[in-house]
Amino acid sequence: MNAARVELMASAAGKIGGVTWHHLFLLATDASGAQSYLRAGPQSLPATQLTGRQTEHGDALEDYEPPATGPYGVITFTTGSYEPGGVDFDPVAANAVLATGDAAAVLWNKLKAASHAVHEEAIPYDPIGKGANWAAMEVLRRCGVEPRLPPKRWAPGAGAWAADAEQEAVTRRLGQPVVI
Amino acid sequence: MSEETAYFRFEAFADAASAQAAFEAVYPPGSAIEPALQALVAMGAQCKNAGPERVACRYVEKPGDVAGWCWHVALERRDASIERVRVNVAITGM
Repeated sequence: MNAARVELMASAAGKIGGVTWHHLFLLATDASGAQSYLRAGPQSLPATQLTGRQTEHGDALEDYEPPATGPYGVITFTTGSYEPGGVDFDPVAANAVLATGDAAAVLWNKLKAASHAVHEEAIPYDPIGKGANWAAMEVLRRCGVEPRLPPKRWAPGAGAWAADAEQEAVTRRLGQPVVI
Repeated sequence: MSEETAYFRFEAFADAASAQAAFEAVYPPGSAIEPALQALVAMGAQCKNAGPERVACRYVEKPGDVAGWCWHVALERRDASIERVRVNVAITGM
């Protein structure tokens, strides 16, 4: 893909203490409008979250082997077509544009290389530490990008808050990580 | 005499293929799209038109978990009927 625009996306995924938290992923759009995502996630979920579930091969627990690195395995990057019915597709996700034009094509290629490197490092997935949001921001940092989150979106693990959100002292303290 | 109602819930599945097969068993191509959309919205999915003949739905299981299943459904329609279903799943975390 020859990206013409690269964006950081934030998709609502749940609530903690009444505050909505977001899952981050990266999105590239080419000149024709075709889009691709780049996202991080755990290698697997704990066996307790597979109990009672079926796969096309039968009981999900039958083929389950716990990852050596812990219940969530390692940080795993995937990429694919961003389209209705596809992974991470969210027409109401918030976005922050990271690059456009030629710079976007260069950045997208760098991001894919950086995500491959993080993937190869086999970093244990920590759902409340080095998780999906941390990984999305880490590949940006490795590409020299100091990303800002989409305004007013809380993404635990990202380690950074949107400047707009920081101005709203009334709500920003809930769950906000302490940065020293 | 009671009539059994077909029932679908994502929480019974761990991959897209099995969920799609079950979904299509309850809401097969050619059937009315409205009951399928109503069921998705009732279970908590967010649905939005993604083109003139397509609806995209997103369903996050147990909102609040630090990592869990996020399901994506695209329903393509012809007139008021389902023409094609596409289901995908990913593990979404913070």
